[in-house]
Amino acid sequence: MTAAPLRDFPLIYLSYDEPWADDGFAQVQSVRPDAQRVHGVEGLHAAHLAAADAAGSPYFLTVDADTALLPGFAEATVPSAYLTPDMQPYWPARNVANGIISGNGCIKLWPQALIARMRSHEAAPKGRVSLDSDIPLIEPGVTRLVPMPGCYAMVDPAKTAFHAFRAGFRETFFLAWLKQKFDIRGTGKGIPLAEILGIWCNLGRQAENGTWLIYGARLGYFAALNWAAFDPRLVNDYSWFNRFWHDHVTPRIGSGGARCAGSGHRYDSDRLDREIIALGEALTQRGLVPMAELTTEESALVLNADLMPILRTPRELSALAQAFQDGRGVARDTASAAALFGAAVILGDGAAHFHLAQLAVEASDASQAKLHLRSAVASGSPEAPHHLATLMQQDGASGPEIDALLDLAAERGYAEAEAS
Amino acid sequence: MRDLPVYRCDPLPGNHDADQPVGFADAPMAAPDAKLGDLDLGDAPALIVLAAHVVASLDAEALLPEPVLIASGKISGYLAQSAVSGGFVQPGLWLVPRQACDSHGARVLGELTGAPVLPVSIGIVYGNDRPKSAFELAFERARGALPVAKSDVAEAALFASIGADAQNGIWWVLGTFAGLLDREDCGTAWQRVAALSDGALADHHAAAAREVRDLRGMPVQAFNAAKSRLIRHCLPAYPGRRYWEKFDKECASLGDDGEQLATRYRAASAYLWDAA
Repeated sequence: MTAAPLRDFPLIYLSYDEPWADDGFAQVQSVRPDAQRVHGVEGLHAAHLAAADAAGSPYFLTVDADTALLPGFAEATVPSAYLTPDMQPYWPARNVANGIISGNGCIKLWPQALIARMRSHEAAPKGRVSLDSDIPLIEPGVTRLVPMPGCYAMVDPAKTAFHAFRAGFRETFFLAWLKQKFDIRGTGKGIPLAEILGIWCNLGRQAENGTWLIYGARLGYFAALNWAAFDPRLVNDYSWFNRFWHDHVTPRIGSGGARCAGSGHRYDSDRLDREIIALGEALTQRGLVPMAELTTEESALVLNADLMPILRTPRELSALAQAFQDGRGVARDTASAAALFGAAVILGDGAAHFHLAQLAVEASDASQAKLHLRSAVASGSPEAPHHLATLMQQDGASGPEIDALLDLAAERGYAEAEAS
Repeated sequence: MRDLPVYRCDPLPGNHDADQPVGFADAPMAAPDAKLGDLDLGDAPALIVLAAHVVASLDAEALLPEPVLIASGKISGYLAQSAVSGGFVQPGLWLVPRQACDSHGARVLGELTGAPVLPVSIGIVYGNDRPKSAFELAFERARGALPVAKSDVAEAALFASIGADAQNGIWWVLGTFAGLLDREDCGTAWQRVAALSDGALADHHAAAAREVRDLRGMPVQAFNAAKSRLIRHCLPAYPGRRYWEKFDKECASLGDDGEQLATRYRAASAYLWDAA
């Protein structure tokens, strides 16, 4: 498979009100001297349209203001097969405060055509709450986010007390909102949202402004669970955040002996701790995510162990693999599909065996197909027993094993009608 | 793996999670003095031996044994996750190709060092059903891991600290700390802690953590149950980066086929880990 170097795509640095943004842009330019900047655009949808205009290219990269590029980015590539108007590949970022490696602060590769179809955030249709770019909603089953291997960015959302608070609040509110939405739809299985919420709400005390990050995260999570009248779209309204910070947060925490090195903001650290603990107790009562008050040393121990993987699930890979297998939103490519299903199997998605069996059948490799079907049967696949029985019958097999497989297919709800 | 003959080293742990279905539930126990060559393979190309205290998951039955490893004739291993610390330990099971059974005089319970270990977990390892056995097993494991390589200190310290929320977890953590201190035999160490009152136990927990930090330079912490539960919740379901890197190196001994195997695991690993 051919690959395109990321250095060939225009890169846009997106900043809004971050006091460190000049330095942040200089850091990005140290890796990509040709980087451009879009600054101060009101509204996240509008900011992305402005980035698309500035890029003037069918594909372009965006980097958020609190994200720094790692040197490996200069050599990173994207498979050419992923360059379609329907896919947005992204490379996750490592959060320097709480260690999480996720889509928060990630590097994104945008197709202009996708941006043109996107109606998100403040531009979302009336009545639809849009807290994200909502790419999977543009054309369900076709447009998609594409998780890319590797991590070429560090995100530091806690450079000032205010920005740490805002980043924590926005992320957990969004995640909790997503969790509720997915739970309602019944499609949230496999997405480690509870783990991600646990990390945001508890880890990071060893970092500068880490307590503000935790406070914001716990309050955002609390708000998502309890503030019934709160308009969720406000989490993307930075003017609202400014008002909330000045009118509510700052008076509540009070001034004191602690000082944010990034902004000079003074605050009462004991009061901040008490608020964090009180929110932790309130959230513990909901019992959804564990809460505990780690010391600086304890938090550092967890972070220094360097055990946080990139937070994603093998099902994301399988979903992409299936797009390649079916040719949905991308040219049909069985080699890419097999490679992605193979990775998904190694990462624990036993269901991917069934698709590998389908690809093996297509390649006339019946013995490989049977191996994968046996694993798919053991994984609980509803359709694999029937397909395995059929393959075995084609080899002339009959008797109790075939009967048992067909019984199992029926037991798992796989009907003959589906088979035909 | 469900099509291969499977043997257990010991009975199912009495304290395993009864709500979780057990993989290889019908696996017979190998005789305590059995050698690998004594086990019946039928016409299978390999057999599986579950390690002591392990409860395999149903997912383990669905794993497809790597043909390259079977063809190599080498014994290979899979990991299991500790019910107490959440850390990954090896082996959870051994995959023993026919050639290895025929030529290997090792006892089933013997230690098989140097075997390639896949960065895949096949279930949960217990060993914490009673306070004393939890302490002893943790003690021996910790002492056996000494000296801890500098690059592994932070990870080892973290997993040594987690467990207070698990069944007999406090005894496990104290056994780990005592093993890391390595200044008395296990029996003596157990006698000292077993006599402590509940209140004194908490003090001893904190004091032992301090000692490990001071004497071993390992930044262990005396996590209470809530902190232990939280950290286990936040830690990944995947074995850490070093297991993937180690397996990558082990594949090199398998020639070109090993390189193909390594390439597949490397590709999967890249979705989990950033560059070291």
